[in-house]
This record gives sequence, C-alpha cells and structure tokens, in this order.
Amino acid sequence: MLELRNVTKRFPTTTAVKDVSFVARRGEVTGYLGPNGSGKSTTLKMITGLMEPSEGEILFDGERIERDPMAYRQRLGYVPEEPLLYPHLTGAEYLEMAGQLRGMPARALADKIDGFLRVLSLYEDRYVPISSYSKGMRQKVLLAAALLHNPDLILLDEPFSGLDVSSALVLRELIRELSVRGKVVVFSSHELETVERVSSHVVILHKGRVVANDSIDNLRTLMSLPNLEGIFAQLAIEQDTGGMARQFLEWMEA
Amino acid sequence: MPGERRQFRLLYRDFLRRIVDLDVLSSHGDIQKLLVQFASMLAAFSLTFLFVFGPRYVTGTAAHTRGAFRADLEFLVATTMAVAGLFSVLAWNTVLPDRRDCLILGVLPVRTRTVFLAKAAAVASALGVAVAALNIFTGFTYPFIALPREGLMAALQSFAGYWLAMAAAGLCVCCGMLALQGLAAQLLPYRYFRRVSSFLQLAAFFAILAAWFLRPPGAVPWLPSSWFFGLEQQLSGRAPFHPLAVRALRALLGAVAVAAITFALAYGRSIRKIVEQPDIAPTGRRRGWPRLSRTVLQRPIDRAIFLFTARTVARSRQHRLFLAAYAGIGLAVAFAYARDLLYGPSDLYATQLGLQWNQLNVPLLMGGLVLLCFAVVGTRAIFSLPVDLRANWVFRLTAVHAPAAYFSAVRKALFALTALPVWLACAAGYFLIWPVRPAAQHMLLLSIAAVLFVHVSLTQFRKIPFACSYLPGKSNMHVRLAIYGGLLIFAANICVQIEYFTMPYPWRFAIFCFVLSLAAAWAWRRWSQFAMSPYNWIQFEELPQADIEALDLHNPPSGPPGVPLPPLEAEVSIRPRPIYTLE
Repeated sequence: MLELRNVTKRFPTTTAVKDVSFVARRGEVTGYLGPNGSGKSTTLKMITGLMEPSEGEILFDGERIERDPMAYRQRLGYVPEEPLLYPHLTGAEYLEMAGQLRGMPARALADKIDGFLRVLSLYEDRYVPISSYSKGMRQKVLLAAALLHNPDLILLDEPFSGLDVSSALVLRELIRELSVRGKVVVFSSHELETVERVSSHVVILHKGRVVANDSIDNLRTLMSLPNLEGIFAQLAIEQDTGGMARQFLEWMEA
Repeated sequence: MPGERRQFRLLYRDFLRRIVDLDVLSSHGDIQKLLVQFASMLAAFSLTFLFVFGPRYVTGTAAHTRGAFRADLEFLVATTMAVAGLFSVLAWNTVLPDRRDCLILGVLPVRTRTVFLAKAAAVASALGVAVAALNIFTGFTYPFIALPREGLMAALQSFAGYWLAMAAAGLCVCCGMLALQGLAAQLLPYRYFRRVSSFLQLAAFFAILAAWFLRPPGAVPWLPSSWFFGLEQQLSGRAPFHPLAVRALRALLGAVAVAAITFALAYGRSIRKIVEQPDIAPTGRRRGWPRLSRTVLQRPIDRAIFLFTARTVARSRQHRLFLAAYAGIGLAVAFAYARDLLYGPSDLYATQLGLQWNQLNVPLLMGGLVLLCFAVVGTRAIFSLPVDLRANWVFRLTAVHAPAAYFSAVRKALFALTALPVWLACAAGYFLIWPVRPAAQHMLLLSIAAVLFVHVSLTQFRKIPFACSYLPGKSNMHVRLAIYGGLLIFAANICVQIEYFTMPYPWRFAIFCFVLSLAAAWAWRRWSQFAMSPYNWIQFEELPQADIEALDLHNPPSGPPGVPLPPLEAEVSIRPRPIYTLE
C-alpha cells in the first residue's frame, strides 16, 4: 500500500503540491488526474524519490520510502512523462542496462528482454538506436524498462502518450491485469475515458491540492454526474472552455 | 521574405551561442563563463609567452634580437594556426545544419542563403575572438620590435602587418578544414558522409597537433606556418617580396574558394538529406563487448557501467573528440620525445640516453608512460561531460546498490577501457622491438603506474560517467591544466630517467619498483577510503561553490539502515544532501 501524508512541495517561486494525502491500495488502479501544472508529475517524482517533499511523508507498505531507498527502488517501476532515453543506445541495450543496474542475472535478463521486445513489436528494431525511434516506440521502451524487474509499485505518468490504438488497448489491459496480480498501480493521464475504464479509484488535483479522492462510483453518486469527464470539469476546470476557444480564434484572426 | 536582415541577426546570435554544445552544461552553468574561460586560457598563453621571451629583447644585441624575433614570430604564427585548426575541429559539427536546424528552420520562411550566411558569420566571429585572444599581448608588443625603419608609419605598417598575417593564417586553416568537410559532403552519400566526417575530424585533429609539435627539419618551406611568417614579413615591410608570401596568398585564396563553393552546395543538399535519412544507421548486433564484459566482469552493475561507458565513448562524437584531444596531446608529447630517434640526436647528452630504437632508450620508455598517463587522464576528464543529461534519471531510479558499488564499477571501466588497451599495445610494441628483459621490466613499471594513475584520478570522483552535469568556471581549469600537465611530464621524465639507469641492475630496479608500488598502494588506499565511506553519495548535478556553507542542522544526518551515524566531531558528520533537480 502506498500512502501520502500531507505532502507539500515548495519551489523557490511557487508551491507545486499542497498538503496532498491519499492511499493507493494493492489490487486497485489509482487514477491521478489534474489539469496541466496542477502538480501531478511533481507528486509522482516525489513518490519515486527523485524529488524530496518539503513537508509530509510518503510510505510504502507502512515504511517511509527514504528509510531504505535502495530496497524501495528495487520494488518500484516508473514510466516518466517525457520519453527521456539515451539515444545512442539501441532499445535492447537500454533495457539490458536498466536490468543490469538493478542487478538482474544475465541469462534471465536476456530472455526477458527478448520476450518484452517481441510482445511490444520492437523486436525487429532492437538493434536500431533509440534516436531513430518514434515517440510511441520510445514509450514502449520506457514501459518495458519499468516492468523488467517485476515491481510491486508501478507509477505511470502519461503512459499512453504517442502509442497507436492497438498498443494503447494492450496497455489498458496490462494495467488492469497488473492490479489484479496485486500490484499497486498509480496512473496519471489526461485521457479521462481511459482512466474511467481502468481505474477503480481516482484522486483529482487542482492547483496542487486534492479536490477529490474516492472511487469513481462514489463520485458519480455524490455529484450526480454521469461520467468522469463531468466530474473533472466541475472540480478542476474553472474557465468557460467554449468561450476560451472563441477568444483564441478572435486573437488568431486579429 | 519577412525581414531577411532581422532573420540573419537572430540566427547569427543563436548559432554563435551554439558553437559550444549547451546540452552538457549544468543547470547552474553559464555559457558566457565557459567562453570567457577559453578566451582567458588563450590570453594567458600570450601573456606567458611575452613574460618568458620578452626580456631578451631588452638586453640582447641587434643581431641577436633579429634572430630571436624571427624564431618567435614563426612560432606565434604556427600557434595561431594550430589554435584556429583546433577551433575548426571543435566547431566541425556545428558548421553544417543539424537535424534540429532542419526541422525547425525548414518549416519557417527562412532562405537557405540566410542560414548559410548566419552560420558563416558566427564561425568567423568565434574564430576572430580566438585569434585575437591568443595574440592579445604579443600583438601589441611584437610588431614594434626590430622595425625596418624609424617613424610612426613604419610602426603602424608593422602593427597592421602582424594582425593581418595572423588573421589570414587563422582563416586559411579554418577554411582548409571547412573545405575538407565540404568536399567530403559533396563526394559521399549523406549516410557515409556522417561516418567518414567523424574520422576526418579526428584525423585533422591529429594532423594539426603533429604539425605543431613535430616540425621536421628540411620541411620548413612546405609548412603553412612558414608561408604566413613570410606574409607577415612582406606586409610589415621587413622583407619586401618575400618568396613564401605568395604561397600564403595562394593557399588562403584556394582554401576560401573551395570552402565557400562546397559549403554553399552542401547546404542545399544537406538540408534535404538530413530530414530524409536517420542520423545513425541501424547496425547488426555486436557481440564483442557484451561477451567480453560477461567474461571479465561478473557483477551486473559492473557490466552495466562498463558497457554504457564503452558505448558512449564509441558513439558520441563529442566525447570521442575530447578523448582524441588528450590522446593527441599525449601522442604529440611522446613524438616530441622521440624526435631524436626520428631526426638523429641533437646534443651530446642525448647520445648518452641510448638513441637506437631497437635498444633500450629513454624516449621510447617515456612514450609508453606518457600515453598511459594521457589516456587515463583524458578518459577520466570526459567522464565528467554528460551525454543527454535529462536521461540520467534511469541511474537515479535504479540506484539499488551502495555508492561504493558504482565507484568500484567506474574504476573497473576505467581500467578496462584505458589502462588495459594502452598496456597491451605497449607490451606488443616493446616485446617486438626490445629484448625480453627490458621489455618485461618496463611493462611491470607501466602496470604499477596504471594502478597509481587510475586511483589518483578517481579519488573524489563521485559520478557515474556521462551522467552528471558540467559546471564551467567551477575551478581555474586553465591554471590547473597547465600546472598539472607540466608537473606530470616533469615527474614522468624523472621517473623514466631513474628507470633507465636502474634497469641493468636487478636490485636497484626492484627497489625502484618497490618505491613506486608504495605510491600506488597509497593511492589505492586513499581511493578505497573515499569510495567505501558509508556516507558517500552519487553526484548527478555539479553545483556552484556556495559563498556561505549551510550546516543544515535542522535535518539530522541520516545514513543507510544499520549503519551507525558518525560522531558530530568527525569529518563527515554533516553529510551533504543530494539535490535533485529534474524540473
């Protein structure tokens, strides 16, 4: 179980995350939603340990993550928001490096990489440098690197970005299966329809604060709204979207 | 076309800033500081030259002054050409548009001509600054020495002649390099050009260094530096109708014309090809490195660091070039020692040091040691330059071992990638040309030296190679480089002299090796104490030195579980906390 208790992150000029608390349980996919700049990626980076919270604490299975960061990282898989990979390595070499850095034995690692690359339709391109990969292919490499060591906690920041329709459907099914197998899955995305299909529990962030933290069914009932898009629009969108689009067009044509 | 001149100005400014690759810099790094550092390094050379060689003009006779002046001036021209050549090699990748330029500028209403002119102007400006910095002190003193006639006009003519000759020499070398690249771009298909270009760049680099260090006697009329020395003599009025000046002008015009034509053609051609073809061609699986690493390195983390390091050095142009710079200087110093073997002994003392190449001799003993030293120091130096900095999160997130495991892996990678290949190459060379005993003795000494160099260079190095940002101006690089370089060569020289004189006597040689082994053991122990400290950490971002050090007392020091905290009085009682800056 992953638990955030009153987590705050301050930067010199702004406070990105304010007093965020929620729990992500095993066997459930937690959707983490919010508009651009609401603090989603900052929260995920704090959960990975890449950033330290200014206040509050993050616990995994009841233990503070900074208590034994090495053991924690061994159980963590993370797909970052941007596909930042070493472009001079090939897809297979990158996965090999990620596995070796985690201390995986050579034979098992090689077999696993071959299997992952075949399933993700990257096998034919395994000796091609990542610099020549499309955005979707890079995303697949990131996903493979995150799951290579069979982690217990999986953090996915915009994992569908750049994926084609069939790969996105595979990933959607994969996320569901991961939760069924007892993994803690925290999943951030702007695709509300996908979040609604995959997640059982959502946390909605607005200007760095949690504005909703419940199951989707409860939220629908409480707010008397038919879908997640309506709930999100009511909680996290302040502007008149139609008016803004018209205003944009006016400026464009000016 | 909307404001072509304005577009030119904008592009010129951007290209000028990108003459140096900004991606390697720390988030706290300042590009201006880096450029000022380079300029001050060149200016420091000018000032040192003036202080060392200037006083002899005050006391010397007229004949002596004229002789010294000619030698100094020729050396200054040669140095200006070498610096301009090295600048051109460093800017090699930035003169043709890259993929980013093509994708951004290709969709904007900007003419290819404007891009070409802006690039050319940026390269010319940077070259001008380099030449000016290099001659900043000598350029205001040397023109007024040994004037051909009295009077203000003669002084002004000499001043103008000096600067014009230096500018022409720099321009000629720079255009020569560009012409070489432009011709390759014209003659080869784009994909092959990309590959050949990096080899040409390295070859040009070595050629420039070799020409500067090794000036073979008898080849002077054929050396471009002599031509531009002749041009200076003619322009300043010291030697009207100097025969070498014509060669200088011909070379300059030829290089400028070929560079301009081939580059103008290459621009139109490259922009299309860059968009159509990938930068790096797919290659078949290379089993050599992984198999070798599996055999030699047992732990996965050792293999990961070794393979990452080897692949980065093999595939990153920038890193290869910096490594070539160190290797080139090492080779040049080694060749400079071997001059007497090549051209015959220059003085009586040299004849005592054995100058038959197939017999034990000091120059070849020195060569192996210098190459080993520069290979280790160069590789250690490029470890500090990052590759795709923002991708280093993978190392942070997979840091499941203690920092000591990473530092140990880095040490193994440095041994495997530098000390071992140089050692093997030297062994092959020495055993081939020398009898077994002296060759084996020298290889033993090189082994001890390798241990010493690797451990000294890695002490206090708490980074994963190529995964930490670079902060320019953190140290007085130019001062330190000059001092360390000088000390290193001085120490190596003494060491080799002692080795040469102890080698025929087994006991003396054994004592000498024992003393060196003590030094190596001390370096190893010092590195171990640093690497194995439980309070060590891995550095991913170079930070500027704070004016006031915060003790951070509100946060109690924390260490790995099970490890007792150090007492407050201990050296490491307040552990610097890693600072993560991904945002």
